[in-house]
Amino acid sequence: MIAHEIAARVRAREVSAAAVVEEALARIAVHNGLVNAFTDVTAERARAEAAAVDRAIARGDDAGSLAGVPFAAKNLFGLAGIVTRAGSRIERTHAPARADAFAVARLRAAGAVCLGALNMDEYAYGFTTENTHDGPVRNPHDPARIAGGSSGGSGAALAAGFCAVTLATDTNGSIRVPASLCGVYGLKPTFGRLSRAGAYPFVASLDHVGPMARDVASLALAYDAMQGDDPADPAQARRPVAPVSGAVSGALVPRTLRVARLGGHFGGEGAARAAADRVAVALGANEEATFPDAAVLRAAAFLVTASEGAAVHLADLRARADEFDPLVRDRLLAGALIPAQWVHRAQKIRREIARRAGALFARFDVLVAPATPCAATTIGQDGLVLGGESVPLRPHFGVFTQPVSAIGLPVLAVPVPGAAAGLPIGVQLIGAPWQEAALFSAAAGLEAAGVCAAPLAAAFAS
Amino acid sequence: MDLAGNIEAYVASAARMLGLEFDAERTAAVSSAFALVCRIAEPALAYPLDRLAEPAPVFLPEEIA
Repeated sequence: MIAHEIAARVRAREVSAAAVVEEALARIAVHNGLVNAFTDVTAERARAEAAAVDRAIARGDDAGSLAGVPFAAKNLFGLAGIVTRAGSRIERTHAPARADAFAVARLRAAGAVCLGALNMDEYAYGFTTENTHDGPVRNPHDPARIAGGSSGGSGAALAAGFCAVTLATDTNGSIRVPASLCGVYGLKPTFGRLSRAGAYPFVASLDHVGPMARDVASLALAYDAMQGDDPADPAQARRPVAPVSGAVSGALVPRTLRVARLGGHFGGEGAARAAADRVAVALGANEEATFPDAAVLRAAAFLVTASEGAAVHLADLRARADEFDPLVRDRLLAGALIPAQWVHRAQKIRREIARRAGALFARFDVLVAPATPCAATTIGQDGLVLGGESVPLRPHFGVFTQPVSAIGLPVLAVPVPGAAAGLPIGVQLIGAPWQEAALFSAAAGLEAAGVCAAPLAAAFAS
Repeated sequence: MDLAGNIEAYVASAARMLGLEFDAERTAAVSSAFALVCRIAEPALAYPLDRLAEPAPVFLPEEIA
């Protein structure tokens, strides 16, 4: 189920959108119980949307770049008529969304067909999608393991072949971590590039919206469709749309890009290190670069996240704390108590270090770093041994992603299949602000060279 | 310095200031979470920040491009 191939076949009338959606719904009905990726399946809506696509094609109209492509959205995106649960129990007592989120509406306008809503960590505050209310998302590559988070359903739904594009959000790594663990492509664009309107907020200073897919061309189609000015999002930058699909089809030789492997904090170990090294070599990187004060940026992002995240939920933390996911509640409560002086300091640090990091892009177009410290771990696991030191697993999954999103840089996470004892692991391609096209060009080169790929998990391949 | 005791005392009084009601069990659990905040925050708290540095309440990436 590759999105750009589906769209081409639907547009050429080789297959109907209705047939594509029935096949996807059948796969979900049979297999979602194993993966627990979907929390809501909008079958009626999907059939109606597919029928509309088929009618448009029968009339000879342009059915859109994503004609008939089945997609689903992390359950914090507004879907008209569905309660936006945002991974929580509390939100599902609220009224259904009256309208689709901007990103959902954009995919729909391009002809994509919405299959439903996907499991996530409560309020997006986690890297493992071990959701206590809805159950954990199980990694299609090994159901005993996590899918990563907080967009775990968005990664797993792709690796299991339930849909061809998913929508996700990334505040500290929530697209890049599940992309790594599920072995799919994910884009966290430049901060301010895509509208967040209609997506349940987590951390206003750091929230990003982005697409995930199983190949670079499909990721580009989805990202291009999602671009556009939206006055409803006060954090969106007012910039012209910058399509990347051309960069994918035209640039199979990434050697024109100046690429460096990030060292120091971003070295990594074991399979994560090897995967990043392999990608860097394939992109012709012959230099190691140092990202300034990564640990300081990670700390700053952590403080801003905990404090702003808690602020969203303070009233519920006062009145109904027992209804929060136990994996999230105590961290939100602790975040509410962070001294304001620490958060002011964190915001100043972000700006100061961002200016220094910007100097790297005078020399390089793409910086390569691991996406996660390791491949998917076991559901329920609390600790991780890295560099001979025991660390708490859940916050540590963001060690390589958090410093980068802290300063808003665009990142395309690319999958290296079978890199860790048969499991996939992802690598971050980090770009200069607004230069997503360079990342797509590099990713297309890696895909063409066979270094990166996102095959269906073996159990779902037939 | 009894850091653990300090954290527990801070958590209990800051929670009261915010109108959050904690029993002993929750005070202990939140204190443990707050101790992790303190540990992860250390590099940011130790960073030699210019006294007159400006914050980034909304980060604007074009500033560094």
